[in-house]
Amino acid sequence: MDETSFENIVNTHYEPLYRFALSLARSEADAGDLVQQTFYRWATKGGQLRDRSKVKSWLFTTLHREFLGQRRHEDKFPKVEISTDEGLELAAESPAPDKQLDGASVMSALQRLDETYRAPLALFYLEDHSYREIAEILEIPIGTVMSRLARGKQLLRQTISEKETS
Amino acid sequence: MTRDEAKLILQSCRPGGRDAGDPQFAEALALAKTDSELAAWFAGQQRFDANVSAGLQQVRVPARLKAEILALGKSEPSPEPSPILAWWRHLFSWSSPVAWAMATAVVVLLSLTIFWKKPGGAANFADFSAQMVNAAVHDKNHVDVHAAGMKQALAWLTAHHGEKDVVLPVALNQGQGLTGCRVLDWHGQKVSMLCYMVNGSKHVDVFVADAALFPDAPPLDQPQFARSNGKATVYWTHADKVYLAVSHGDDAVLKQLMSPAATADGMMVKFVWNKSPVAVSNL
Repeated sequence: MDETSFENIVNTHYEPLYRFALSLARSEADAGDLVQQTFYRWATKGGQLRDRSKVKSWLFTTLHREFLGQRRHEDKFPKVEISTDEGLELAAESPAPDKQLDGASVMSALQRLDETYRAPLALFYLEDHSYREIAEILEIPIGTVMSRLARGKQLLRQTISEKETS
Repeated sequence: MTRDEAKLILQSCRPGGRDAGDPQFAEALALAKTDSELAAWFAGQQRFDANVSAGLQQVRVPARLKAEILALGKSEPSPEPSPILAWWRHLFSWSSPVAWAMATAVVVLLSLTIFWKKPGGAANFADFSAQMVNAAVHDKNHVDVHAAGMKQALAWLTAHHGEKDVVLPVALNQGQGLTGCRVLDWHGQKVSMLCYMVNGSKHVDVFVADAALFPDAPPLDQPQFARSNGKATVYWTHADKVYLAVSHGDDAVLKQLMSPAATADGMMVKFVWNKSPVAVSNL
C-alpha cells in the first residue's frame, strides 16, 4: 500500500476511530492501542478490500473485533471484597438535561453504560453512521440496533441526569 | 403505526435530517407531522442527540497518535510465510477430500446445535416465560447457591456472568426473604434468578434478563399479570432489563408486591453490586 493512500485514510478516520475506541475501552492508552492495531491490520491486509467505499466500515468493524478479542482475554470480573453495609440511600432520578454537554461528560456517561449499548450509541453519535452501518459494523441485525439505540438513549439520559444531580 | 412504535423507530434517526429520505423512517416522520405531541418529543430527542454528538466531537485525541499510526504504514511488512506448506496445511487444502468431509461434518454439527438450542426459532418472551416457569418448578437444583442478602447474591451473580444490578419492588427490599440465586442459560445468554420466601412462606422466584434479547419485550414499567404453565406470573421491563416473577402459590403475593402502593414513587429499589441501594422512579 502506498504511503499517500495510507496517510489519507488515517487522516480521514483516526479521530472518530479513537473516540469509538475510547468509548469501548474506557482508557486512553487502550483506545490508542486499539486504533494502532486497527491501522496495522489495514496496512497489512487492507489491500484485500476490493470495494474502496467500504473502508470506513472495514476499519470500525476491525476495531470492534479487536476490542472483543482483547476482552475475551481479560478477567471481566475483578474480585472485590463484599461490603456488608445494606443501608438504603435514596436518590431519585431526575429528567434528562436539554443543554450543551461537554466532551468529558458525554464520554464519561457513555462509558458507564453496559457494552451492549455503548458500541451502537458511540457509533450513532459519531454522526457518520446510520443504523444500517451500525448493524454492519457490529454484525448484528438492524432491529437489534434500533432497540439498543432506543434503550441505550434512555439509559444515557438517565446517566447524564444522575451525574448532573450529584 | 402507534405513537410508541414511531418513537422507537425515530430514536434511530440522526439529527440534521440526514435520514429523512430513508423509507424506514417515512411513516414515523409523517406521523410526527400530524401528531403535535410526537413532534415535540422528536424535536427534544433531536436536540439531545445533537448535543451529545457535539459533545463527543470535543473529545481530545492524543496529539502523538497520528504520528504513531503513520509510522506503522512506513514500517516493513511482515515476511510472507514460506510456500512450503506444513503437513496439516495440505490436509486442510480445499482440494483435499478430507477437508470437504470435515467441512460437511462441521456444517451438520452446527445445524444440529442450532436446531437443539433454538427449537422455537427466534427468542420470544412467551417462550422465555414458559421455560423459566418450568425451571422454577421442575429443576432439581432450584438455586445454585444460598445467599443471606442481596449483596452476597449480586456478588455471586456477578462472578458467574449474571446480573450486576437489579431494580426490584421495595417489598423485596434489602434481600429480605432472599434465600438464594442461580444463573440459567437462555439461547446462550445468561439469565439471573433470585429466590425469595416473601413474608416467610410465599415462594417467589424472580428472573432477570437483558431486554434486548426479546423483540417482544414487555412494555416499560407496566407490570403484566399472566399465567404461564399453570403458575401465576408478573413481568415487566425496567431500563434495560426484563423481569419475570413466578409465584409457586396464588397470584395474591405478586399483586401485593406490584400494587400501586407498594411501587409508588421511591418504592422501587436499585441494587448494584458492591454499592448501596438507591430508590428509583416508580413503575
